[in-house]
Amino acid sequence: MTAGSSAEARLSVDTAATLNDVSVVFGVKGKRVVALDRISMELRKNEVVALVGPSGCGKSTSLRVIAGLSKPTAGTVQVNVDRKTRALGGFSMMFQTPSLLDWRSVLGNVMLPLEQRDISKAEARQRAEHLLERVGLADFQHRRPYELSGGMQQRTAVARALVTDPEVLLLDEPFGALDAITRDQMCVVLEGLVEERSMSVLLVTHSISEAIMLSDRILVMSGRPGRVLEELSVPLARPRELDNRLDKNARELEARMLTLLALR
Amino acid sequence: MSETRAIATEATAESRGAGGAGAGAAALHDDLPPLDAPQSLAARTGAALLRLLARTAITVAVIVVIVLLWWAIVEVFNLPSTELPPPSTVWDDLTGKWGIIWAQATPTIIESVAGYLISAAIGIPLGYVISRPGPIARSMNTGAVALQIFPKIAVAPLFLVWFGFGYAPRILFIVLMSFFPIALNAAAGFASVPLDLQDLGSIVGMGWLTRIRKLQGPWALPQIFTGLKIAASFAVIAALVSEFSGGTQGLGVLIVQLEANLDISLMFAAILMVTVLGFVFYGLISVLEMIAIPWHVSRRRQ
Repeated sequence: MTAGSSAEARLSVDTAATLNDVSVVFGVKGKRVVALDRISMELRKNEVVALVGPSGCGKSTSLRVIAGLSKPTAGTVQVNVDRKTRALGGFSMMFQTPSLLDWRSVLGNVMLPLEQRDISKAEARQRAEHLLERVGLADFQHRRPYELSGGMQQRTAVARALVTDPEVLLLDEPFGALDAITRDQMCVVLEGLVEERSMSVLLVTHSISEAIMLSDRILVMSGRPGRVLEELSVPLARPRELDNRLDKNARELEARMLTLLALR
Repeated sequence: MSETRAIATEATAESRGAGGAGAGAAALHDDLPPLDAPQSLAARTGAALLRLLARTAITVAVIVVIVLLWWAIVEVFNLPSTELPPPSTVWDDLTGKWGIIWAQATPTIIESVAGYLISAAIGIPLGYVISRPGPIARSMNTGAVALQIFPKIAVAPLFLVWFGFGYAPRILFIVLMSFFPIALNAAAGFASVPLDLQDLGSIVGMGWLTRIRKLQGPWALPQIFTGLKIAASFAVIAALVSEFSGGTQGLGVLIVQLEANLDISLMFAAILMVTVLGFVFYGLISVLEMIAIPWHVSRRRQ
């Protein structure tokens, strides 16, 4: 949290992005809908932050504001990373749906973001193939997305999000549409990939165990109007495994989050 | 409140499942055989033609049934050739006087194809503009609807006064008749691009032209083809109507003359020719569709 920092304050080198008293108000058919009410938060370099809260608390809106997809009505957004870079790095995002292009092969889908960067086609292909191997889809690169299972599609989306070596990775309920077992598998895959590279990750999720498994810091948000109730740090070493969720301090964390999220 | 309960149940379910999760993580590969090479254009075209052949068989069967019905009606009601000639007589006229029919079919084909291509060239970009938010899109939409509702047939004779007796008035008439289904379907296609996909375009840093080329265009393609197919059947009919309303050549002119001369058999041969033209036109667009969007067709096959 960046309490009391003025809007013009320079970002420290350790910060990837900050929201300062950001409000977002939509006008839907003449009605004012407050999606976000004076939220402040900080995403530091190379840390994984999870935003957890009930539906409609504004966690996705917070993420969209940082991504530059929504404009704040009030307050300031500061981003230390070039959103429009032509080099590698910059921003990447994963959505609730795999959002793959059916008219491209799996490989073609993973290469898509690199087509907007100044990088040779050969190198792009090499990077994409390498990542597909990492997510266990090396044998499926010439398949079309609709030929794959839901989990495989979302792994393709993971590869696509990481292929540009992003400095900031935004995850908007990335596994929300998957079944519990596949979701656990995806958590393991993603944890490994996050662990081995330096990037800042903002994860929006409904799932407490996903937040514990993946993040360094958890911001628990209340329902409408969305506020940050509490900031919790995750006392688990890396690399993590699914069984770590059963550790004593992980269970205490889970209990604390359940209390915070219950009946508000 | 129910939301909070949902989170709680989910969390317990997941911690229960955590014990056996190691095994789950190892099973990354689903039971799909790997495919080594992407299908080449030649292979896709071949597959498309094969599917077309299967469809053609059904079409032929339907035609046979229609001809049989036609023949039965003539026989049962004992109709004279001046009212409804039997299929055999019409066929004899079609083959025997092919020269006359083909000579008048040529201008009709030229008009329809030219009008159709112009409709597509106008309709698809117009569909894109209509699909965008804002007042410009809305006014364009209103304009297109007005043009569609306006009874063009009523003013078709005036076109001759305005644009002369050449191809121009008839091509214009065809364009006015067939651009609308193309524009409307294209607009629906462009407007249906999912929000996540649009966001992806923004995050990845695509400009508007790249978006059209890589996201919106391919996404809208199945819908665009729906419009193109509807317009394909419209174009030939529109050509005929424009010829009815005054002209010097074309199958429409021939049909009007033959009816006046009571040469009903040859008139039916000319009508048959129009029908075949429409079929061929529609078929060509369907083949193009199967080649252009294999991802859509193969999904439908599943």
